[in-house]
Amino acid sequence: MQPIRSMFNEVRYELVKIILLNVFLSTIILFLLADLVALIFNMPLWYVIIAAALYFIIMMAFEVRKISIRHVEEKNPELKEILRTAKDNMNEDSLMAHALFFEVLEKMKRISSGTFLDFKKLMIKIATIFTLAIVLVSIAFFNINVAKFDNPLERPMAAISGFLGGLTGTEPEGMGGDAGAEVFGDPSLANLGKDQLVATVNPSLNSPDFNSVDPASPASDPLSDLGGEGGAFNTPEGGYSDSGLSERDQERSYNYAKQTQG
Amino acid sequence: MAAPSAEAVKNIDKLKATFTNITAEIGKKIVGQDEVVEQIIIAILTDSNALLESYPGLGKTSTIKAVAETMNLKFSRIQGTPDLMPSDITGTYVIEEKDGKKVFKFQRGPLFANIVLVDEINRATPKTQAALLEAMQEKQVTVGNQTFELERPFFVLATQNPIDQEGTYPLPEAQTDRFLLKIILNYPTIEQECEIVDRYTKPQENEQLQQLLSAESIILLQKLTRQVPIANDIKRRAVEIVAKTRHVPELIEYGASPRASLGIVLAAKAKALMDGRKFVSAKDIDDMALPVLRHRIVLSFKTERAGKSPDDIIREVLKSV
Repeated sequence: MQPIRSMFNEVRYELVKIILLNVFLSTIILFLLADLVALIFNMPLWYVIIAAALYFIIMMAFEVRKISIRHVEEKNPELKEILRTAKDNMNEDSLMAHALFFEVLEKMKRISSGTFLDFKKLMIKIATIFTLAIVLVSIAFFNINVAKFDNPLERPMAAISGFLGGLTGTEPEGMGGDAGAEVFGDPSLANLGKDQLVATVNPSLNSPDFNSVDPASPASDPLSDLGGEGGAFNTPEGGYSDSGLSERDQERSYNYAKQTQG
Repeated sequence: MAAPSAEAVKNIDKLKATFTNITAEIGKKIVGQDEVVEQIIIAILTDSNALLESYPGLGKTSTIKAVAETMNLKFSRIQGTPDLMPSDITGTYVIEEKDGKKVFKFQRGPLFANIVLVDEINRATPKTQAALLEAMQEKQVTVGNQTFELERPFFVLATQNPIDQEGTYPLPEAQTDRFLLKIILNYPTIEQECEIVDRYTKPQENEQLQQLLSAESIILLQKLTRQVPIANDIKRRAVEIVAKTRHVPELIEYGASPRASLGIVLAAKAKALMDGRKFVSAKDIDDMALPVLRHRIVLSFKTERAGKSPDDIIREVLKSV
């Protein structure tokens, strides 16, 4: 009885492999379709990945539960009824049962697992995948976006991240640490400010004549332009200067200028 | 049980040839009743009894005699008549002189055989018909306070005709239920009838049929029949067919009992064995439903008035299951 049991295990294994292949191809089709929709509506890709993964898991569980020896019988008419009879009587220990097992084993030797495959279905799936891939590449090439997807999870996610940031004591992104650099630009760029650009304004045309810009010459006091000592930004009384900057902003500008100078 | 040898498996494969030879041998005497012969052999393989019904002159008795000839078994014949007494078939005590003393000795009747042909069973009185019941079901005969086991294999093959009902005693349902199969013989085709005419209008050769099966081999075949594996869904189909006959009151007044389910499955196993298969197919079940069920259902008045036969109704049931 051991050989017949092993044979049925082998058949089951082969069927699982075929189901895996079929479900995998279906999942790819679903993934490509969903990706197409995501591309057109500007949806995030991880939505598509989650949907495809869920489909794969559910379909595998469903199909594996549905495995029946009848699938093999349908594909191989010479095994009709004999295979399920052998399966239902695997524990029988009689001469007729053994003779049946012997016959089933003999017949199964002549059958390859390829016969379990539905080639027509398989070819249709592969052709569908190919077509979808071409459509997807074309849409990506022409950059077709029908609508901007309003991510319903964006606000809750931002709120959660803000809440978590509050709990851990870290500031939300862009507000601390390098905030000064973001506001004022990279300090190295400020060195350009050391050079003096002189432009002549043509009063008759009311627009600058950039053809008559003189070459840059080093400034005597670069801080004068940025509110350094004796600069225009400095106000002896404090408060708001003529430029409209607050005292704190002026101080920050001064510190930044010093940093770049130093 | 250890796995059987390749030799044993080959012997099982040869069974089909054996049954083909038996059918061919019977065919030397009987023309065009292959299905009937097959069903009689099925009754023998299932260790059961069969009731043959047909209009007179279709070869019921000849067929049974031909089947019996191909088997090396004790054969006896009982002719059903209204004055047939139970003791005429079971046997009776007779006074015998032994050592100068008169003693009662049991004289065995025609029931003590392997194949018993009860011709025109419906002409025997209900009392005599009832005497057959114990033999058919229990394979034993009780006379007075003594019980005698019947030799194995034992089966009753009875005949009756559906017309000329005057002076007959239709078998009660309880007795017809004891017959596994009710086999109907139909008229032969023109070609078959020509052959019958040819064969039986020439000088008689009195050909003897070859004996192909012994009592031991029949008992072995009966064991093998019960061993034929059947798939669960096919077994369930048999049971559903029988159960369905109990749930169509507009067509059937009384449906078949669970004994019919046993009968269908067993007969289907025998049919599979005869066909050289080691498993029962759904077709075997359908083929056996007619002979197993036709005498076990009682049609409703409405159905009878519509002129439908039990076979018509069983076919409808088969379609619906």
